[in-house]
Amino acid sequence: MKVTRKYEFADEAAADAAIAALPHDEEGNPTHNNGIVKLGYLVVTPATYDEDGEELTAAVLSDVYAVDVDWSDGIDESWDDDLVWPTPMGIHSFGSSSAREEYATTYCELFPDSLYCNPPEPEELELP
Amino acid sequence: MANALESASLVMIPSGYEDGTLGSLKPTDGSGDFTFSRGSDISATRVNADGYIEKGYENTIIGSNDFARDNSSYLITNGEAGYDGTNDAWLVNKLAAAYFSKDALVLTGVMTISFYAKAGSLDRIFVFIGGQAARFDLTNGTAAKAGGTPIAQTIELVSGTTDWYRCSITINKSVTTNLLLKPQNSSNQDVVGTIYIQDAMLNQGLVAYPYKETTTAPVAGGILEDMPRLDYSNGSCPALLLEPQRTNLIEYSEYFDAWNVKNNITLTSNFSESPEGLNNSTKITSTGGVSTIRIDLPVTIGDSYTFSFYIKNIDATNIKLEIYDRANFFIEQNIENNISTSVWTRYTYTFTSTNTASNATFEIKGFTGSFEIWGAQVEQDATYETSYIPTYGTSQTRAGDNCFTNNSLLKQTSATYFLETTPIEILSNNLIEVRGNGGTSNRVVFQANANGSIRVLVRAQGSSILDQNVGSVVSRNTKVKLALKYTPSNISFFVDGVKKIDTDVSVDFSPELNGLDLEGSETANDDALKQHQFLFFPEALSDADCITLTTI
Repeated sequence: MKVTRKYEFADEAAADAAIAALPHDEEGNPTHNNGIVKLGYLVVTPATYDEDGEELTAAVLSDVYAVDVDWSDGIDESWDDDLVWPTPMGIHSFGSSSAREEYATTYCELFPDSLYCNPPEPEELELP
Repeated sequence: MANALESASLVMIPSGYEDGTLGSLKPTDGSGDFTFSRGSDISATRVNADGYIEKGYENTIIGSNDFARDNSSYLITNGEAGYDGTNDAWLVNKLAAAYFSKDALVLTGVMTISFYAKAGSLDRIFVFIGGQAARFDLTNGTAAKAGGTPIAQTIELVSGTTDWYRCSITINKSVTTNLLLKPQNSSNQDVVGTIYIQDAMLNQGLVAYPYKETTTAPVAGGILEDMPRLDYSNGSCPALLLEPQRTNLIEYSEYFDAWNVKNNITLTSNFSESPEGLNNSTKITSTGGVSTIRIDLPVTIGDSYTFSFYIKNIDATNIKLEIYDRANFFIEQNIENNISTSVWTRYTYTFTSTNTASNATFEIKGFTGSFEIWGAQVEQDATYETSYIPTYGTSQTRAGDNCFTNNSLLKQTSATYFLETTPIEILSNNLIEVRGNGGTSNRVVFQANANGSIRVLVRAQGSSILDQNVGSVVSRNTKVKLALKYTPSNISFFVDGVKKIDTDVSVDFSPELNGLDLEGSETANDDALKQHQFLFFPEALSDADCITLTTI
């Protein structure tokens, strides 16, 4: 089963170095079957727009470079220093129901007190 | 020649399949079946035999037909006659003014909650979830918003019944919450009485998908994670669709109300039938002024992007498509004449960004009147469009398809390969690979290239014994028939009934060829094609037979 993990690197070059360290053949073609998506510098604060759609304030971007990996051949532990755990599933997923379930289960094992894993009861006062 | 299917020892014509396996017609004992993997279900789609785009989906409600509750205000018992001919329905006897619930539903973006219900002594049911509410009339078959801002509420009479309805409410939330329900009378009063209920479902998307029963874990339907995609987009004979990994950057590919800019328009979700065959298209209507629907996405200088969407006109004019990377406009074009009022058109545009920006704009603007839209997609690192990747609140990646068999049948000193294929792309696009163990030292590869050529690469014991381009024989999305035969002293290659290569060369694979990759690569797939059939003959056929086989 494939496993999704999320990483943040200092910059794109650091991400590329980690990706290049995965198995490749002599021509530089990957010989692993892991799926890798470079999400880049994520938007921390979205841009704002006026009523005509013109930008009022520019988006604020993260200062770290995000990468999602769909590990097919087991998690490469050399990446662990850059591992992060956004609330499931962050802004991106690999469209896999089993990988999503595994990530959410592991997240709640690691962060049992998080709001995601302890949803509040519905507030009866708000009910019609 | 004798019937080709009788002469071949390995025959792959896409037909039988299951999750993780593509069946071969020969050998008949299953020893020639292909292992298939992708690892994506929610993000994978195909065109099915009915001509509709089919998705993967999932019922994420645990215990989907368990309505038993420890609730002093309700007595809920099962064993009642259901909508589906079973006795699996539940009688909900309301003893006091209160809700009963399905607990801890995990909402992740655009989701639809549905259940089947029938009137008892009460004929309405009120539904509350994530701050959104709807009311369903089980006598008249009507649904109405009853609080908050649900995207839609729908009630449908179950086919073959006169009194069971499927009720659904669609919302856009990311939270874990309870689904609360209460029966009411025809005056919307919280009086005591009964209704019947059965089979709840929670799925991503704007509409309810076919019900899947769950007990202790979610259950998937439609396209499963490792299910081969038999694609019917070219007609009644399916082809095996094999695509590379792709990401749809658009977080809401069907819910356009979540896009960044919606000026001078109204949007009607679930307006009419989409290319999916479900009632989940969106109608966009100009209200005057400069009508605009726009999404902003990050782009990187030098990267290629392919924007695609399905569109059907109603009465709109001047439907202007515009893409702007905050440095240059790539297209500013009225696409009105490119689309139809009767059928859906997938409109596609590819560009290479000249700028790095967090908010390049993809928009349709300046129109009057109305059109329908569905299935928007922006693929990164993409010079061509691939199959639709639905998204419901986050961007999604569909992993690459891999389909291979390791089979000793392929170990032959003389043999013939026949391949009928449609390349989706012709940029270093491998069409097939037959290989020996241990890397790339022994292999046969057909590769489509940008000038319409096919590169035939044969390597034996680490040396390229044949590496030749056959010019101007393939083009994108056009079927081609190829055959290669070899003996210990010759290799010949045929394209569409014409012999293109005939070269005397020593052919001695060591280790022998025993692996076949239908997606053209043993490792991560970066090729895109549709495989119609592959035949393997454990002998070198005659030239006449190869010409007959490959004649279109």
